[in-house]
Amino acid sequence: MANRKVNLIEGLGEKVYVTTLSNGLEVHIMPKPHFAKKYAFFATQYGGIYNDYWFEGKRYEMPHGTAHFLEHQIFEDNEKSNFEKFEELGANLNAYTSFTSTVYHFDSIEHFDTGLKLLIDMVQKTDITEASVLKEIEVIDQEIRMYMDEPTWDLSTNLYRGLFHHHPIRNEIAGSTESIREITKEKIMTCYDHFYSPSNMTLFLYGAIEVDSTFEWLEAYFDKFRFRHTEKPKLIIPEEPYPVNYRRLDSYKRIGKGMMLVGFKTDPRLFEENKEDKIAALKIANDLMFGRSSEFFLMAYEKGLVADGFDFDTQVGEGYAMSLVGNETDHIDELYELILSEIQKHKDQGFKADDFMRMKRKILGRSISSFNSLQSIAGNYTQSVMRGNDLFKQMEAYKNLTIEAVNQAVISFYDLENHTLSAVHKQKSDANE
Amino acid sequence: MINQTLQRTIIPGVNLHMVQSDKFKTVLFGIYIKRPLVESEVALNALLSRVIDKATANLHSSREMSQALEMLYGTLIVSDVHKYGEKQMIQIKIQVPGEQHVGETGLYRGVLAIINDMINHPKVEGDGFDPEMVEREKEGLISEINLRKDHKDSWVMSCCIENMCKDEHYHIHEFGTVERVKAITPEGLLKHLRKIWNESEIDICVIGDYDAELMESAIIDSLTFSSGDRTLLEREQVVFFPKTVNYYEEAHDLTQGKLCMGYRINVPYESPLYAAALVASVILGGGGSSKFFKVIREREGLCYSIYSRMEKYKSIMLVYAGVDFDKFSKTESLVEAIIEEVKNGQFTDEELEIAKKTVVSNIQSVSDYPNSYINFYYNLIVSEGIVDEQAHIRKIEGVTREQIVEALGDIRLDTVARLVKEDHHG
Repeated sequence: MANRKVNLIEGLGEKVYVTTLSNGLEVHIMPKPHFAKKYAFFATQYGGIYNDYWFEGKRYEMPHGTAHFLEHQIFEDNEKSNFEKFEELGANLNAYTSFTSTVYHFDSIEHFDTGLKLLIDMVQKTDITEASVLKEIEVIDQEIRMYMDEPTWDLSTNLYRGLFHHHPIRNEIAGSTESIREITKEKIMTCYDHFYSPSNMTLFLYGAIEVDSTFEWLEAYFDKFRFRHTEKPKLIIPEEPYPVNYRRLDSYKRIGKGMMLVGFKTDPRLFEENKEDKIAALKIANDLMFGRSSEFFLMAYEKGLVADGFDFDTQVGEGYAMSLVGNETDHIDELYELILSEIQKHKDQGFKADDFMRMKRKILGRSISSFNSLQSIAGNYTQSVMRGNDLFKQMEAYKNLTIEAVNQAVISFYDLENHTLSAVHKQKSDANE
Repeated sequence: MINQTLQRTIIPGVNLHMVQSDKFKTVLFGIYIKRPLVESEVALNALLSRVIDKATANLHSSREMSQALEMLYGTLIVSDVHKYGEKQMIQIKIQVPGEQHVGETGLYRGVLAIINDMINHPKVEGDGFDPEMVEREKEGLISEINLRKDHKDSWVMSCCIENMCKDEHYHIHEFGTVERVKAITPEGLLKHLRKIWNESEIDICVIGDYDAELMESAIIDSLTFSSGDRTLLEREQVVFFPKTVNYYEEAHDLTQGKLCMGYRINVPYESPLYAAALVASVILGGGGSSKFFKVIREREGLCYSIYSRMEKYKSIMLVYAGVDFDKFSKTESLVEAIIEEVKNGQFTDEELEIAKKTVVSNIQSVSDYPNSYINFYYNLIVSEGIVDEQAHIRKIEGVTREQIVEALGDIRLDTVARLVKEDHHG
């Protein structure tokens, strides 16, 4: 069709074609002719933090874990297991729920169009019953218990409770073993109706795919689904105070080694302008301060304060911005002090020019490597769009970065007075006491 | 796609495999040193893999090492140990961006020089490795051994293997024991490095978009080997018929019970029935369309995780599930009943076809990722000596219902391991 409006997004030698179908669904296609596999991701803007929202003039409050529960229920089919339908095509089907989105995806080498129709059908039609909800409560109860048995469970749940007073990121995406028991078929169907309309969803396709003809058959195929709503639900995020909720949370567990994670909270409005540049500057600053080639890491490693898993990250999302640093250690307080003094040092002194240049070479090499695997490109691109970010712009931002911007990032982002320490101490077993 | 594969013998026992594909933007090197899985050696190999990538005679600290790799456009080196049946591989993997993509030549030679230094010119003091470095890495390895217990799902599988194979080398964990690690000296470790580099079978695989002739000469010029006899390792014993089922239980601080059932399949990978055994394990517990998933999770709602895993080199199948503490017996009986059904041919043609497609599509898609391809390729080199993807696929596609029944004819439950909830009595 000649009158279809198609936008082209480009960066790092890759191209993505974007259009909006007449039912409001946004479709992104990244053609990658040399790969055997093709990938499809069907995503809705509905994740673990969407428990309190406005829709068509009314406020709704749902039990924690509803989005994730609904993800499980989408797989229900009266006639035949959806997994089997895909595996018959040699395709792999899966799904995940993040804080802000639910994503259904599959990949296949052959019969991709058939798989795509199955994926659309699975998400746009449902066979949810009272019985399927009751059975799924038990399955998800086991899933949550599995997470609770992971060694880092207390570490991250305490950190989020410490950093935030009200922001829904404090809550587990899957909910709790109690909250899932408040979920009913009616609540699930309400959320399905509000969040699974094409206008609240995005479809992503990657691989050896012909762009124009695919847009056209998708337009025709979606015609058979009832047009539900045009309005998008609006997430309610309560006013989050600037200071952290708790400075420090300690817990005790029978583990082989203690663990700690420091979270630095800042004002998310800092990222309202030039978000990509600021995130790039901050990521380079973190790497220079805490990476394997830093003075800090050498010192902490030689003192036996850090192990191989030592890590750091910066996350910016709707209504929150934070950096996390830490890992396994038996010297929680010593490592904690060292992290704080390291940040202070760089706030005062800035970084060295040759360290900065070396880091730019590293980032260039790593961004080339990240385009090796279509699976990771597909996963990263999908996630970045669903979080409201631009992956290409983010990767390009590293190229024009200056050392001044990196120095400034440390000064404006890190408020040493506004952080939470989550510590999990090794508890001796009764027999050893 | 994979364009071509070339194999060269550098010296007897040291082989180079060059896999060329123009769709990758990086070059991935894998160096595999093949060792026997024995008590006296595993801890040495594990510690060695952690020590060699920390410093060399030219790069004096882990910081200098990291900085050198960052200058080489963020080259990654991962050095570790893996268990392939009763063999232990020391693996060094190196990922470098393709020279043509960063517009600089000499990158591969730069990386290979570091690798050669790691092995032939390590950071030494007297007749041993730098003692401080060894001490730190010993602590790190010991802590990793102690931490194995914290990951409850892999721990229950280890418990199962360790009890099931207590009289076979296969029970040995690839990290070794705390006592063995403690006993290692810097001198002993350096001696061990010399020994394994001179006496082991070594394979070097290189996958990426590069000029084969230039790459071959870069490798031959950069890496130094000594000629001499290299020990060839024997195939492990795989057929066992346990007389009774062995039960093992451990109490942990848990919110969910962890179950692992260990089966002897008794079909070695050399057997014409091996492909059928592999497909059978997928019918049973390979993903969302498997029988375990459909019955135990979807119909009974007993668990979230349930799957089976084949240990190819030992012909063992492990079934894992996370269940409520009072549902162990029920889950175990269901697993047993489902295996009995499949063994008796009670599965649909569709279930068979889906399982075959799953295996085939997994094989086809490994060529999309350099790391999966290098693993797949090396696994076939170890087990079959040659890599013929198409022949491999044809074998899977040819599996019949009768072969599945025959392949499961000798399956025996050997060991059941459970992690249960600790009693909180005073």
